[in-house]
Amino acid sequence: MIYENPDKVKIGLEIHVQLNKANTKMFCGCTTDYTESGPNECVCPGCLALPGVPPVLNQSSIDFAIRIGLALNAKINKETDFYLKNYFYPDLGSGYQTTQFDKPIVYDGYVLIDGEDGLEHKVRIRRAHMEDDPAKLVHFGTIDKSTGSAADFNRSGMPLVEIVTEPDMRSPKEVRRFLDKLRSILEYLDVVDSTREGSIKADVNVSVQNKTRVEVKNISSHRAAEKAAQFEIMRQKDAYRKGKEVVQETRHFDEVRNVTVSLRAKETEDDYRYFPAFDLVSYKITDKKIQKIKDRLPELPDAKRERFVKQYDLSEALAKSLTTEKEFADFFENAARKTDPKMAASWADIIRGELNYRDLSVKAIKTEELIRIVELVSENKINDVGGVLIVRTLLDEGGTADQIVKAKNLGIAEDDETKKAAVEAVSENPEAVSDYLNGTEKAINFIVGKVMQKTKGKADAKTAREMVIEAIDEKYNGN
Amino acid sequence: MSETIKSVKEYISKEGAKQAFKRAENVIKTKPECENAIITYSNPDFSKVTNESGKLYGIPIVISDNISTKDIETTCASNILKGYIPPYKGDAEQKLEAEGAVILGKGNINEFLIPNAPSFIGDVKNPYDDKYTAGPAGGCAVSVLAGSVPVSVASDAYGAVRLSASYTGITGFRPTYGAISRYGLIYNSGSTDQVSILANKVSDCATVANVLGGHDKRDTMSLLDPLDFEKGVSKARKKIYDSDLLEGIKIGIPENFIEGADFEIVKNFEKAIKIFESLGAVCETCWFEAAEFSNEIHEIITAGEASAMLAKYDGTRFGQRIDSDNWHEMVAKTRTLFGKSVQDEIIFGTNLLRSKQIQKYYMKALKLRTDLVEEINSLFKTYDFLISPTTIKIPAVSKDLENWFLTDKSITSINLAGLPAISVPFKKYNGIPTGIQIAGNLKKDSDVLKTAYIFEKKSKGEN
Repeated sequence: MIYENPDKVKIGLEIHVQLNKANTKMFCGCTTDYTESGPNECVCPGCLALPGVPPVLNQSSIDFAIRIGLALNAKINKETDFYLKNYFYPDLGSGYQTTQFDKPIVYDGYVLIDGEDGLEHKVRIRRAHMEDDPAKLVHFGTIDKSTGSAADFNRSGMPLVEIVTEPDMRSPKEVRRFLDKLRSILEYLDVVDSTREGSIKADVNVSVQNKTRVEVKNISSHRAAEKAAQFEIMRQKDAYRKGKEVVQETRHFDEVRNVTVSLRAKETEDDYRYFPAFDLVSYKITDKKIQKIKDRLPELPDAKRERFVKQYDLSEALAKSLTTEKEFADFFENAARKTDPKMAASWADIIRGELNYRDLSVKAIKTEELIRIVELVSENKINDVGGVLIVRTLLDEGGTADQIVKAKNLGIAEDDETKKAAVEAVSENPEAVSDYLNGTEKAINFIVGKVMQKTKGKADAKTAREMVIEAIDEKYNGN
Repeated sequence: MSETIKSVKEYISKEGAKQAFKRAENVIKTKPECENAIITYSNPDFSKVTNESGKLYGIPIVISDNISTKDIETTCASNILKGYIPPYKGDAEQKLEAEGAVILGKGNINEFLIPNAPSFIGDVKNPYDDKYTAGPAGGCAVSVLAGSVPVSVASDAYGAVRLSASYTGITGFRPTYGAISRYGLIYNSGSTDQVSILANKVSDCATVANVLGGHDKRDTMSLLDPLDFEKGVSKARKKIYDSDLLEGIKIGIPENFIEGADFEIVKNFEKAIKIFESLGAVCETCWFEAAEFSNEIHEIITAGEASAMLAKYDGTRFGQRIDSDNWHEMVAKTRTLFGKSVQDEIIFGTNLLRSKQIQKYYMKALKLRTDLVEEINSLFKTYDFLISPTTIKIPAVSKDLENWFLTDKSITSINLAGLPAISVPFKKYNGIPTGIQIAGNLKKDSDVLKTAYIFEKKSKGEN
């Protein structure tokens, strides 16, 4: 079934990705990891834009950009150069940003996502170019009622890649899926630590009915991007329905109220006076270099998912869930090598849910514990309920699977215990028994439930059922 | 080979670095022609000047005020940077200090070296006629001329070093672009500016260039292989040079470098040609078509680059600030602290880069620059050197500096191509010294210096 896109929604994104896994800033030797540092501690004369410091391009940021390009199925410009973009702003020390213009390092690529219609949908990448991040402004008070601002130059000079898509997304959901997919790819590439504040930001461009395009700037989460697109589509449709026009402008997304608000109407296009950066040479990228980087690309999410499906005989959905994050995929695969892969996969997925619920990363649990849980279940030492309890306890309180089994007495009830509970349950629930004997199969489940209650969930459900039937036979049929 | 430095070193070894420094300071502070020569005096710590075997041990040196010096106020001769004390050392300062040199102070220059922008402390007058300027790097040139320091380190943006040398009768050497690191050089035009040297003698230029040269990973444009300025002459020429002759050397004289020159200047230059010929060189005139527009190309490119490079002076982080209610207004007010000529340059450059006309001027200038470089390369297939008067004009009238324009193709075409060139003093015009420029091909710095040295020796007594 083809998605009709009745309102002709077109959404394009510009995504700013901080290459914060590069060792140094784009044009100086300062670190890109300042999360533990105080304001203006990771700076030098270069990124402070003090007079007299020429820029020196950090090679690894170029390599990172090429990796991103290759992972986005894009072409790499054999010759790329930098331009200066001129404007005055307190966060911009030098008064210009070093960026790219008509020869972006990456162009013409695509990313596949699950479309609205459930079919594979292609989002084309127009280009991806490199630039440097300005400093960060900290406002005292709110943005409109500020009593003052301070600039933190730790961020100044952070290498960025700005990825620009074609307006190929047809719904807010596709925006979300695209961003999730992109983040997953970037994390596989190990170019960005997306847990750091402001590491991935997006501008969302929305139009409906092939009319005016509106830009919503500086959105810092995937959820917010989805919500912003949702609101914009509604707002624009509503305007047209009322016979109004939509102004071409830049808007801001208010994450508290889930609405977009007008920043400024773009009456005239700003003239940034782009011109070639005279202090940087144009950069030639050889096929050999591209091949070398290609050879070292890690297995990407799509490839890994397909392999998991084949190699471990997993469902598409499960494989996808396991491969969204590289670290998680490794967590599963390390266990799959040592134990039953299918069981490891379904337990890993349960763990994933529990991690997400707690907003924890996979670092919170060791592969050994996953392996142990699989072993305990497959050796019938615990049941599924017990397994889930172990996961939850591990995450909430710590310890090992074995310790928790002991401490919480999760071991599967011995047959005697289950038998005793079954006999009791049968005599305590005569109505259910007679229902069962009169042909209501389901009534047995009620009695099994009682057995589980009595054994505090430790009984194996299958065994309990067998014993309940046995007890009924003994009591009523005399055999 | 290094003559003045050698003689200065001799008395330093008797007096010690501290005494030599005091003497140098005394000269600058007492000689009337040194008025305004230094913007800021340094306060050196002599306990750290210990490298007695350093090539420049105890030598006092003036550094132009557009080169960053740690803990010494660096203003680029502009009110806007008043009070700015760099927290880091430029490469020049580092290398000079490593060889035992002592920085005397920061030489006065034009504001941000812009040709018609007077220094905020006042222009340095020409010692030969105080109606005229001593040049855009006047403070650096005059300190050498007055005998305070044997060498100044400055930068040759807009030909500042060669022009100042020519106006004051000393030697000014601009090396190949990238041969000396620009780390610490506060340039407006990164593609044409180059750290350069002013000295009494050609040999002193070579010695100091060897101290300053070499690859620096902090400057993208830095050449990977260091040049040997003293002993790096072309192998094929070495024998000829060693006999202090220029036998068989082919010298081109671009006719359009001399167009519009006064009769007296041409006459002096013809005498210089005779000297080259008497040394065995073959001199012939040539036409350098692309240089016809070199002044305009140079003006457009330097102004465009300057409009961006001068943007960082916004009063936010360093230098002066004029406070206001909001940031943008504060920036606008603060930037009125630039002198008028600098403001004009910024406005000119800003206009050139506007998206509506960038193709028409700036991008076209870049294209023409490429053509110019190609043509000059082909000229150097025929000639070993190009010679000309350093400038065909008399210096600007000091009080009328704001109305002066740089119109020497000999200066602008060399700066656009990033070639090594030297101005050697030769004769006077209206009582003011003039210089002969010898320019060579890329990285032929040692050949240029050696040829200049031979010319200097031969023309001794003709100034």
